[in-house]
Amino acid sequence: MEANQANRLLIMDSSPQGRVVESTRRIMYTVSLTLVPALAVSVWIFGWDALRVIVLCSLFCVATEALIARFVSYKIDYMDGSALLTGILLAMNLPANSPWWIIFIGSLVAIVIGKQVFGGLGQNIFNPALVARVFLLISFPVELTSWPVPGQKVDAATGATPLGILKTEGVGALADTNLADLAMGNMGGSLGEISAIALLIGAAYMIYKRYITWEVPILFIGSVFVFAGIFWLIDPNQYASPAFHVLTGGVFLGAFYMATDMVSSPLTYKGKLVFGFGCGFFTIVIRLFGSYPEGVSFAILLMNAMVPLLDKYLPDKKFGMVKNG
Amino acid sequence: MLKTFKMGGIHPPEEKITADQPITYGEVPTQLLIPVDQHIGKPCEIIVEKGSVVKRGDLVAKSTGFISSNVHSPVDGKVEKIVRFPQLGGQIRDCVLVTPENPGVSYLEVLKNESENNIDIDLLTAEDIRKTISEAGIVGMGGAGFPTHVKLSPPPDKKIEALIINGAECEPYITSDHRLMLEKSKEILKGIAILQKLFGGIPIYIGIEFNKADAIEALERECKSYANISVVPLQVKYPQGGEKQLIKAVLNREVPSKGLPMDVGVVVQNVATVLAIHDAFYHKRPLLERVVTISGNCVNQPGNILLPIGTPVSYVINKFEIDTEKVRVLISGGPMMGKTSYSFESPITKTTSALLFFDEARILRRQENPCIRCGSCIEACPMGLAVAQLTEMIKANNIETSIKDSIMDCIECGSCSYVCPADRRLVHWMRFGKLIIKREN
Repeated sequence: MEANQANRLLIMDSSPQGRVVESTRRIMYTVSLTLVPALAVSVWIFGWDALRVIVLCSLFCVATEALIARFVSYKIDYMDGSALLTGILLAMNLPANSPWWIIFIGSLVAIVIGKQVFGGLGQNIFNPALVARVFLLISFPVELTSWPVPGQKVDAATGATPLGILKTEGVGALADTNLADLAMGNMGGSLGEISAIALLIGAAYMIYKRYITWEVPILFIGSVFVFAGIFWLIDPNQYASPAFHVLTGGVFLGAFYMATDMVSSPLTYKGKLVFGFGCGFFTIVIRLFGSYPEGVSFAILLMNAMVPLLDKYLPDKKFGMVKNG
Repeated sequence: MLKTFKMGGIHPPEEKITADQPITYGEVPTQLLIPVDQHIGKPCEIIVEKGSVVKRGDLVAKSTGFISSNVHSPVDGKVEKIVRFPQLGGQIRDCVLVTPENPGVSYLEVLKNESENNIDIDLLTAEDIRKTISEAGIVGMGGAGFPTHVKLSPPPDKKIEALIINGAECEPYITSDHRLMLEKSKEILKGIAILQKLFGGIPIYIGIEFNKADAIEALERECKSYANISVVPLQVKYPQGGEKQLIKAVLNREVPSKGLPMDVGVVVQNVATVLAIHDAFYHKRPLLERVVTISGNCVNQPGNILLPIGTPVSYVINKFEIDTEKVRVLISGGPMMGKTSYSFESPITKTTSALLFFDEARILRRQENPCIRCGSCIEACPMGLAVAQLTEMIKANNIETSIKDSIMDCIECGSCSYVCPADRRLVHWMRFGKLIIKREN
């Protein structure tokens, strides 16, 4: 009787009553789905090996988060899609022939060191998938730089990425590289760095849904193009063309999926501009003058560290910050 | 391109299902519970006691200062007692319980018996106008309840250059202002003319959102017989009815942070308030009743009704076939800024623009999830505030920084909570922070 009465009491709550249908889960799963075209291209290029990497990464990441959820006092919704997305993004940063233990270590690093030690979803400073990639790159350089060659589905064949060739053999070795091949994904590389066009299809949908905004990707790719272009104009025999720099490596993956990660990118408009610009600038600096052939991951992590400063010192314009009239 | 404000704003479903329902008039209720504290400012002093006999329009509670407002009895009757009773919104306040002499008599009859006076606006002085409005107990009827005579008395150093009449009605569901603009357009214009006289013939703009095309047309037709009064159609966007947003939309003037509309030479008045001003002059009638939209998914016959102030919510339940078994949420006002209430016996006030009855699907009490820094709240905020960070500051008791980041500019429109994908109660924390700051000062 009393329970019945309680069910009929009116509910008091703070306004507003009602909300959008958007939710964290919906965002995470939608972003994961927008990666399907790029994943399909990677399977098409590298065969079922690519699918194996994707499935293992996703499984390990979600399982790691589920395991942590058992031991912490606060609630972790490990099925909210964020761990899955980290897994897929990590897969896109690995070669298709990665052994299972590399994937396992990578997933562990991404979820534990990249995300949960900071306090879980929303608290991490760095992009978890990139933390794992850089960890693996430094710890296991051989495994992380033996790239399967497209089209050859035999396990043994491995080769360098176009950027790797550029680093070790110079611009001359790239003479017969076709830009269309680069755009379509017909090159050596990790799962996600190979097809700019497939990534663009997913990114277009994310921009339409307003999950990402144009500032970071455009400034990222734009500054890569501009700085690569400056050096190319100075000496085309020593430096590769800006188009080559934009289409190779993880620039598109980085610009549209890694740098735009909501948690680890700035909130303010001007912050986003500086962030995108910095990512592109450091990418080129590392590519041209660093010892690694590829600089996207390092550049994004570097800029991730600056996000709190950018948010603080480049705030958005507020209403009423004007003189009278 | 229709005008609107630039920064932030959202588009919740409009749900104006009662837009075509003409204002109805009920009967005099069997009991009225007249709250004596319906405005922002000093509480009133009750001047009746148990057993007092009151006439329609008699003062029951007297204003106690400049920022305060009179309360009158809408009916002839007897004061039963003074009680403390839960208001719409939950606070417990003094109410005057009046038993009408003539319950059941059609309210339309009561209104018909009133005389219509012809007044010559040109003979009114600014002093007369303010005095009449003040005595009539008129407050802002859009929701805030700020005494109108105060808003109409800017200090001499603030020159008022324009008056904006707020017909935006941007909240979902509410249609009371919409119906007034359609059915009382002549009276509204007469009320506006009085305000125009008060400010010496300044231009007057009536801001109306475009989803009320018929109201725009009706008022435009009436405007033709007046000089310097025009209708400004606006895009549909919440919270366009917010004073600062409306001024930005209509005149492209930006009220400075911590400032008031008068700082940019503007005064804003709601259409229902203007109609009350008309009634105060042409019917010599203080603010006694208001139009209320009755809507929500538990209401089988939603509509608009003129109710005397003090009518208990329960009065409308049978009239609009409200399924009380199903109702779990009672909102006074709109779903975005309205307050929930826990009693069907609470009385309506001068500021109750709507009573919404929802089942529990409207409130899904979900847990706050972690902020994923998506930035939706900042994008939605019409004041451009960094809501995600401000709410964290409040939770960490970092009051100083939150003041520096303009938390006091929050208009509590609820756009941030509405768009948050992580179900964070952002506007609630903003309100909480503002409350702490106000209390400390």
